[in-house]
Amino acid sequence: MTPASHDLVALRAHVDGGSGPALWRSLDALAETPAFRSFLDAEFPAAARLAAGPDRRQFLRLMAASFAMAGLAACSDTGGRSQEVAYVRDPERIVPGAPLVYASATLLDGIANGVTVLTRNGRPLKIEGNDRHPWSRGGTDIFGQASILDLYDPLRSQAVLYLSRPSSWEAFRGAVTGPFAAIKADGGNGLRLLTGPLSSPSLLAQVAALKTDFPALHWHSFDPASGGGALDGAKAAFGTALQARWRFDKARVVVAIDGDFLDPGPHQVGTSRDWADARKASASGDLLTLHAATSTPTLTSAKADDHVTLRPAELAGLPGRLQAAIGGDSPKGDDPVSLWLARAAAALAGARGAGIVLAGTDQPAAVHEAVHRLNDALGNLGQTVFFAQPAVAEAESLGALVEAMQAGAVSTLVVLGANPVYAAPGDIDFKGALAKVSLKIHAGLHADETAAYANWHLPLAHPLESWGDARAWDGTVSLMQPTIAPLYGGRSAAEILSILSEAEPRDGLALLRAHWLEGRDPARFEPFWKQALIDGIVPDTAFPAETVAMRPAGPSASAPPPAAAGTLDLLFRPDPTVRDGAFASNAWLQELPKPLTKTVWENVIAISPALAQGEDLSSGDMVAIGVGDVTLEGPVWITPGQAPDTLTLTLGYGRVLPDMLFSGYGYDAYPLRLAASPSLRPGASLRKLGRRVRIATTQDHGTLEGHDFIRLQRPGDGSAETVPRELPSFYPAKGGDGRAWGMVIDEDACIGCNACVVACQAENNIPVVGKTEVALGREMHWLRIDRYYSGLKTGAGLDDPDTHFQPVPCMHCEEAPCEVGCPVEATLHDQEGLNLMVYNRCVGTRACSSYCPYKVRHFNYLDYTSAAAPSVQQQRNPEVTVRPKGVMEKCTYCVQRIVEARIDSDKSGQPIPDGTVKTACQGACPTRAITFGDLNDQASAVRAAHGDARNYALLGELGLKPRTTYLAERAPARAEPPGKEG
Amino acid sequence: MASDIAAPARGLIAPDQDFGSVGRTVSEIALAHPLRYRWWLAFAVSLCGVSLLVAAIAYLLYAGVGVWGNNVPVTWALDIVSYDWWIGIASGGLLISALLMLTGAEWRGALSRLTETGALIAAAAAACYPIIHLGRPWFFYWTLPYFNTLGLWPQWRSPLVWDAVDIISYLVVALTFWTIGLLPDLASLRDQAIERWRATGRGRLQAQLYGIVALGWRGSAYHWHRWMQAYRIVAAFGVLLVISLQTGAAVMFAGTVEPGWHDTLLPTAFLLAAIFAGSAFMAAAAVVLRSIFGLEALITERHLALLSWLMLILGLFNLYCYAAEIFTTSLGNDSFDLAVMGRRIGGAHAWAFWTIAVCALLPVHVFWLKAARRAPRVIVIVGLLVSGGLFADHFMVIVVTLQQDFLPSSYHPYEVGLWGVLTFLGSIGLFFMLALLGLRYLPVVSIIEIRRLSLSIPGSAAHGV
Repeated sequence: MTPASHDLVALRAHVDGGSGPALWRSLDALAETPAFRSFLDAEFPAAARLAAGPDRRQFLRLMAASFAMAGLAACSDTGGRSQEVAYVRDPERIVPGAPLVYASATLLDGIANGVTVLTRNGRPLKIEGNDRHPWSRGGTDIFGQASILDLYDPLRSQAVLYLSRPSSWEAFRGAVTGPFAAIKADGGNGLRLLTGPLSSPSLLAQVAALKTDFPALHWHSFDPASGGGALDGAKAAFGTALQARWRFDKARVVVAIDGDFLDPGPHQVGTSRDWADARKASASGDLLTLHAATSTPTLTSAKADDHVTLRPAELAGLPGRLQAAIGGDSPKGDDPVSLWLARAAAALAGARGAGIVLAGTDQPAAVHEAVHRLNDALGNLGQTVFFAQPAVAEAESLGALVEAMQAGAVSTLVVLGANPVYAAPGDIDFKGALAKVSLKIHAGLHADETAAYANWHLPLAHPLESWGDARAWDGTVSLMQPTIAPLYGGRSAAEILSILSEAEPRDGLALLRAHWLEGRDPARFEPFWKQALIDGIVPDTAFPAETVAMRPAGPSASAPPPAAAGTLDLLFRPDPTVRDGAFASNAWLQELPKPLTKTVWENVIAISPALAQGEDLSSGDMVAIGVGDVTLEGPVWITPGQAPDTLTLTLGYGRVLPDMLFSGYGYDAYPLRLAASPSLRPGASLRKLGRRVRIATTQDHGTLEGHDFIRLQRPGDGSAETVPRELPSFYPAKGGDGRAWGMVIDEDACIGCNACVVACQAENNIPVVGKTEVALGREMHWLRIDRYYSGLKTGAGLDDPDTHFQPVPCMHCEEAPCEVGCPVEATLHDQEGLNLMVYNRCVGTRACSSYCPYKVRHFNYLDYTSAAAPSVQQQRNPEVTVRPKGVMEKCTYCVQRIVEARIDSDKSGQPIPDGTVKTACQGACPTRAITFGDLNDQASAVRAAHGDARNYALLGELGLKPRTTYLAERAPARAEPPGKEG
Repeated sequence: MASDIAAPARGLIAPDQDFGSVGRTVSEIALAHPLRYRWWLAFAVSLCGVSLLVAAIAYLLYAGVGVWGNNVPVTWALDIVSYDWWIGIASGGLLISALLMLTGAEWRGALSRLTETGALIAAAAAACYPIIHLGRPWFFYWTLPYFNTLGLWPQWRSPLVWDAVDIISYLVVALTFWTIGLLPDLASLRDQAIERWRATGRGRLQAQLYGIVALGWRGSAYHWHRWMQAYRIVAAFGVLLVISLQTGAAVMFAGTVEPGWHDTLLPTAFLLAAIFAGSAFMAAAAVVLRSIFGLEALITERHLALLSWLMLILGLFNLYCYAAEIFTTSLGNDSFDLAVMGRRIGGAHAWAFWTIAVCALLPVHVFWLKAARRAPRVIVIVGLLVSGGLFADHFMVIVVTLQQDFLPSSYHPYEVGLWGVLTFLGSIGLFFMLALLGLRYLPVVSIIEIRRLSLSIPGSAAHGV
């Protein structure tokens, strides 16, 4: 191509006049000289054709491209958005839509449960178990599962408050720097720190460091949920405050005196797993049996093979009577208590060194001490019963703090994560004493009652959004990683202590790292630290068993005075779902049926059937309970298994803070509590008020009504199944793609803890409907736990029946009646035997629910989902449809997880390995009661469970071939004539 | 009774009525509106009922079907109970009219218009429910087979699909049946309206409107021949549809595995209960109309006696069904069936069972007495008791089973919500509003049937117009 000469002036005019091309590569191109055209023709024939002008086809092609380009161009309109920075580099590790899991821990009473947190797109969505954690071993509890909702709680404290007005962290720091410098100069005089129970090594180190800076500092801790004397009992027996640990796997008999090792609490996940594993392992030989004596029914007494109920004063004398009975002084009389004593004593005597006697955490020190001595006498110490350091560090009490406050010895009080204004026992006037403190600083997740009385309120960061550590029940240090930046600008307790005490406040990570770096070789720290974060634990930090030596019995502790005739004993227990009130703001836990009463959204006063009969009370009747000069009004709930003349009050309700989720629900039991004996108060009276209230409950009928929904299997029994699985049918067998999903639920392992129910709610976007709707019968839980009373095990009657738990998800019947009913085929079978719901096809005839014999379907009678707070909507699982008004829903076997595995399997061409798909309920279960998998896979765990002799189908006689089946409860060989079924 | 049947026409038309006077008696009501003030009062009340219905439905569409008291397990309650009851009354009315037509019972003439109209408007009241009881009423048409790009069809095994088809077919047939029966009467009205217009110069529009809806009926032999064929064919369809509709509604329950529902007797029992309720309701309505409009000349004592006999016989049939169900349940010894039976008789909703016994099954036995069979008041009271009592039957069948079927844990009580009651009251208002409009503008009894009857009475036809 020969360069042509250019008329630059003309070209300039050409461009300036706007008639030339906007882009040109050369002056030739600009001038459109013939030479350029011929060059173009030779080099780019296609382009030459374009330049020559399009033909019809070409024109259409061009227009199509133009429209597409115009569409793209419309997207890139920069109007007002020119400041945005493109998403050039993905944030590290975040793959859109793919889950990312972090090991962390949830906290209950200051003690950790090792978990993992599943996040998607940077949002934590679900708590799962952590298999690597030596204590929780993959299990979770309701509090851990529900803590994800607390993270998104729109009512959480969102700002620093000064005198209840919004302020800022900077203002806070500015305001406290001066006073704290002055206190420091004064050696810390007048400064007090009040926390909840603390097990965190780094926080404890910080408190210790604080004490060196402020030598006169007093640290108090307050745990409203604990009301017993376990540590004092050990101190009396061994001289040191130690926590009992049990080796169920080495035991043949467990005798529980008000035992609560299966009940909600920081110990629940690990202890119940130990129990369930040991029970399972023992089934081939002598079944590990549980004898329980309680004053109020618990999950532990519900699982007992042999149980008795008696008043607290009698209960306290049980260890002594047991000892006497083992010594040969067998109890006379044929009352239930004597008979139980005889059986328990015989069992213990027959298993010396392989028995466990244990007392509940709410029992006083004397009972614990007596139990330790009994274990010692039976040779159980060092065999099945061990002792180790408690996870929670010891601090001064709330009572001592209030005394000091009243004496005017406290000028500055820092309250970290405690709410004593609400939760202080009735005889400790914390609120009154606060008036004598000049500077009150409160940090909490909520602007609660204590915040209202404080000068400064600081929003505490949620454990899921802060760095930290805490010990599990066995002492294992569990690390907590933030899975999201603090939603509401909260800071962790460690960061707040740093603000108060350090010249340059450090952030949570720096504080935590600094603590764990201490005393380690910095060069070798990084690998250790990385692995610790991946696993969520600092290895080998569990407290070892201590060698203990029994001290001689002191003067026998004065037995509690026998209850005065005609008066009632009041028992105080943490609420099964909101505990001491710390979880009251959690809607999932509010709507979670309490395991035994099945009531929701409020607390009730448990009353024995006999007392209710005597006082002419029925469930829901309001009564006034008077003790001392305090009176409380609340509704009674007839509770089988409750000791006569004993009422159980649960904590955590009756709060009147305005505009909170929990406002106005239930009664407040704290004013009746005494600091010296927080879990028991005798001498109460009861008066019927003549009013009734409507209590929302999810299960009105609790007896088996003569049916075999619950089955027992004693040694030597044949198959629990009574009908053949294949009943004759007119219809041909259904084909499939080779997989057959099924679930087997072990009723023997199920302790009724509800972890599965909350996990299901979290995984499947199940809405909360509120008390009114639950009372109408419209709760939405896809998985419910039926609680039945019977006399199957012991033949006991109404006053102390056997209790059974039966989790009921969808049965995924092979011959599903619901599918026949639906006129629009919105519920149908897939090729792997899943009974599916097609939400957007559902018109809401509700025929499927009418047709379902298990009534596992739930209907969106009203719009339950769209009014949720925006922050709560953030928690929703993007893999699961949020259901609108007028649509039916039910358990899907977590179909989203199955589909994920199926897609992976389709891509790889490999079958889905057994154990890949875990349903949410299965993963949450602390006792591993739920098995799920492919029934057609000969090697699968679910297939093996299906073949167990204990396997039976609920309502199998209907011929619906449910895919969910149950394993019958185990029971020891019958020692006496069978009782009548209840 | 035997003597009554042997003398077919005797007593069916009052002695002083003739071929022309029967026509005038009836058309007078439609044309002259003799009960103006009472009619307006009744119309105003029923209009209030309709506005209640409109308000209740509007609120339901806004808030969701949860405004009613339904729950899980009681997913069907007052909605389906009301629907089944209304459609039962409608079916009963239509079946009686159609069967009498096909069997040529000459005494039906005075009642046919009433039963046909009643069947149609009761069906209209019933037709509210299947749509509004849905969770998403705006998608009601998904239950019907229609062509769509997704290739989605209803799920044919579901009794609900067939129920939807039944309802629509029923409405079409009932409307057709009613219109055909009305045609000659409309022509009569047209003729008289024209006469009146010519005589007084008033009512031209009325005459024109009746002229239009009379579809050019001239009363030629050809017309009559075709008319009779069409009337009989549609009547035969009606009979089939009533059976299909009622048994279909029953299969909605019998097709499940639920205790108390899973029962082959249920379709028969549903059908008989529907006819029982329908005939009782129509009998009461006939007597009320008779006294309001002074139709003693047309609806005679013999009509009343025949209606009483019908109620008595149907009452015995129904008694048999209840007895058979209790007997077979006891014999079957299925614990769940027995438990449901126990709850029906002695449970929280035992009132329903005892209402059936006391209001529906017991009172008809008063008709063993001849005096009662001819006492209008007794017939009204018994008729209303029976039709109301059978409302309890649907309540018992649906709610008692749903409230607790197999697992005691799934029990939950059902309480009728305020909005459910308002909706039902509204549907009654709708029924009466339509009934009053019909009474105002249409002949309350079939003119031609009555005329045909008068022709068959020796000596009265001579005075024909």
